[in-house]
Amino acid sequence: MKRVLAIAALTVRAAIRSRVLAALTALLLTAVIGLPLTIRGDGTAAGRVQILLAYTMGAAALVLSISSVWSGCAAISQEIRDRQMHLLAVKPVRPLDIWLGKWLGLTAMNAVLLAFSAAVVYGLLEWTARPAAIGAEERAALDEEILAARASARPDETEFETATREQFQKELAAGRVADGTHPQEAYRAFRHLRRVQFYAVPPGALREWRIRLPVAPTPDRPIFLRFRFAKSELTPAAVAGQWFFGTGDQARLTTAGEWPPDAFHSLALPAQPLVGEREIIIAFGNADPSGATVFFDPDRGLEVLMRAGGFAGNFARAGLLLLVQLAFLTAVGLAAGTLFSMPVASFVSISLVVLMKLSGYIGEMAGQRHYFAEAGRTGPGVALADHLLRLVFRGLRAALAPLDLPNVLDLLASGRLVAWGSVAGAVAIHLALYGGLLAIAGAAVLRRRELGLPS
Amino acid sequence: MRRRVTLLYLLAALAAFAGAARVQPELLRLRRAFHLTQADPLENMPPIVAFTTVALGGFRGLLVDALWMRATRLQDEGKYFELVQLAGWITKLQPRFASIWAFHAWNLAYNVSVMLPAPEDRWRWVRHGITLLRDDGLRYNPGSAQLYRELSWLYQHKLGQDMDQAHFYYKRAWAEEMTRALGGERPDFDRLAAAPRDLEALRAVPGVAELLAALEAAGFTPPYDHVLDADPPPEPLATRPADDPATRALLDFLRARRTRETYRLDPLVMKAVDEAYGPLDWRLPGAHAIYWARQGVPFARSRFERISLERSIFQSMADSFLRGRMVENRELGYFALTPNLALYPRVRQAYLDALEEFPTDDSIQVAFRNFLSDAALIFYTYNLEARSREIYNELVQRYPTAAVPGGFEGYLYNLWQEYGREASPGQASFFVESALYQSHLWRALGDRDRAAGYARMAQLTWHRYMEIRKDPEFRARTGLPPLEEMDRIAQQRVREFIEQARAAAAEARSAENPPNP
Repeated sequence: MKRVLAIAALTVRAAIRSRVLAALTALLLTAVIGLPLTIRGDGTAAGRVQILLAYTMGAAALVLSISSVWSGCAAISQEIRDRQMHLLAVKPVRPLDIWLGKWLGLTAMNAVLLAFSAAVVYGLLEWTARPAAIGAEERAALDEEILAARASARPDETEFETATREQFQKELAAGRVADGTHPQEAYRAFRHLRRVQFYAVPPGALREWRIRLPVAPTPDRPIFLRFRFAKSELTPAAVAGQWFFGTGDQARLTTAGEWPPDAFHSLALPAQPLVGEREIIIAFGNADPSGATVFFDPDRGLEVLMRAGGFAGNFARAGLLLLVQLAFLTAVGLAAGTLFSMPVASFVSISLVVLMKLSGYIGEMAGQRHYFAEAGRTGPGVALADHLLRLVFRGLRAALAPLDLPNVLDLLASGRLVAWGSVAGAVAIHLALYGGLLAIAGAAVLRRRELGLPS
Repeated sequence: MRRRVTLLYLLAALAAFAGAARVQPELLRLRRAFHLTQADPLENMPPIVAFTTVALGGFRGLLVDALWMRATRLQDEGKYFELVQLAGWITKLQPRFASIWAFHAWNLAYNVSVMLPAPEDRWRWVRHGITLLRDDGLRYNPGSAQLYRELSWLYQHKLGQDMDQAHFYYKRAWAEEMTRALGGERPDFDRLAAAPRDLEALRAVPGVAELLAALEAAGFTPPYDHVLDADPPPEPLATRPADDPATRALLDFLRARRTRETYRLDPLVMKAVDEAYGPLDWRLPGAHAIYWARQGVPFARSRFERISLERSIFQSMADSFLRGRMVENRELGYFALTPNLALYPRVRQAYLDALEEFPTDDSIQVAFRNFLSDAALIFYTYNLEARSREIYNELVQRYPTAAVPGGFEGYLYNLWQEYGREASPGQASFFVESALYQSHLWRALGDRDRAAGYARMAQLTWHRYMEIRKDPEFRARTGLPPLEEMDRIAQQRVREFIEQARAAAAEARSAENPPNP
């Protein structure tokens, strides 16, 4: 460990000596302070705070991400090129110590810079939302909806899933699935249809959903129901209806109103009647006189938001999550820099990062069965090519899916909880698992790499 | 030898540059004169635009795609706080592409605004759409007829019509802004145009330096813009007589500056528009729709663009005729728009001009026929039968199929019944108000039975119209003001009419019997 720490200290010292740290600090300061001066919000205090959070922290994260990959690539490859690695390699240190020391030094530098940026942003935030700058009402709304850590919960679909699977088995047994249709594809379509129905409320009907609350309600904090729906008529006219909230079969709260379609709506409900409950029932009664059916968006159309903590803690956890990502990017850069020269390492690392960013698209492609055949290609090799491509996409999805993280700045700017679980998961997957694999691979390459080749 | 050749090349290049520099201004002038480019060449291009259009080169497209995808995603997720900035970036990355400006202004003013329940939030987004076009879009595309037309449309349709649930809020908010900026419904355009252009010139007006010092002592610091927004007016102004030259100079300066810099309106152009199409109430969106459409006409390069702009003008004028008179009672929180009868000759002329230019365009023919039809009924219900008959005669002369067996009365009776069944909010409003007007007029003339009949008709129409508007959203958007308030306005109009009639009679009498010298 001593050796690792010594190499880390040397790495930091080299960064300071080469003025990288000073340049990065200046760049971060420019981004964090200069950006809010040029960005236009929507004219509200909430908008200003959200812009500040999303853009300034986003700019800092972007600068640090680029510098992490770049400095990771340079840390070993440049030292090999400049023959400085010889001095280190001939000392009694293992290749893994060198790799870990470099990584730790760069990560420590990132941690300091990130903490500095976060402190400046936090100060700017406090200054923007100071009582003299915004009204008490706006400040209260900010505290409740943005400068907070709100946990969310969506309707429980367990029973729906079981019932859907059973129904599908019956359909399958009755031979109602078209010949030649893959059962998995048929099930996907069947489930999609049932799910739309699960979130649809016909005119004059009442539909209820069960929601497990992430935390127990406290009497002094309201619970927010956020919803959005589409309706079966193409008119923007609002839909009349009534919401019911309660536990078991008892509706304790009701709210009647009219809500336009396709927009997000938020209802603040007093938590007092639900104190101590961990599972609630919500129901919507469609009383629209025009007779339109209401369809709640199955993925984002219905959720309960409740305060699960303060903003400072959330901000700190978001910072930690960002640091984990930076540490991972450093590891990617270092591994590439161990294997290749600087330009090639940069190219490879950036390609890997882009690939990670495209994981959503890769996931979609992996779920597809035909690629060339779907594009109208025929011939003996098409099936094989499709099969191979499917294997590639599935392999990539399996490798990249664990690295998917929620957009931490989006969460922060919308007052959503950045959970400790997410931070712990990121540490386990990004650092322990993938970071560990990269470290082992990097050390193995470094052990075998011929450092004394003539240039 | 080689050096000499190089020197020769350099001299030739220098001469070519000098020649190009000499020819360039004339080329630019010709480009403008013959409309050879979509927009005028930009001078003093802002750094951000210069950077994005020149330095980024082909990568602009990629950046725009990424920003556009982000904007779409955020809008879909209901996260609107970044959209103003993203729209600004997307448009500035392609600053000469007028359709992009038009799309984003539309998106902010129409699509985003209706997602928000509170009228004040909606209004903020409608304003974002307007300012994007007016302040930036037209700045980078000063010769784009499309953008003038789009801006005119926002005023005419989004603010002026009743398609949005919050349209009354928009109209009121705009009227308040304009009242602060212009000082009333009909500003003195000449005074605004002649107002000092900068603070130095203002200070040179006698008495202004003392007035500014008093304002500063009262907390109004340069550039003194908040003076116009202060309610009640700042004490140093309130304590001076209204015709105090220094006060007038200051207010003219502040109003002219805000008119030019914030609302991008040129007082002299406003005056020309008002003379051509007015008298307009500049607190209402219709006047601004006409202003911007008129500004775009010289840049129309196709028949479609020309017709679109002309249509904006005559539709806005027809709207101003139908609802171009603002009635506001701040104490009661009441705000309504009623017919502006004085506009009739100008609206008619605007239609005739458009028809002369596009005689075969069916949409203009139909619009003119509908306008004449509305006008005949409105004048009749305001007891101006001769004018109404004159309009009817023109209607049947131009459109013989409009004639009905019952002649003038038969036509109006049919129309009355038709409006009773399917009246638009504007038509229903004048329908009820005019019946109330008749009621008060006949009461003043002593025919109480007839007056009661008209009052009953107004009540019946009001209740029938509101009865079918059970849906509160529909009612809020297209409903009529309270009957009592409409009655009060009609009574006021009758009072004004009688006063005018008395004054005219007195004038006629004095003309007949001139006082002895």
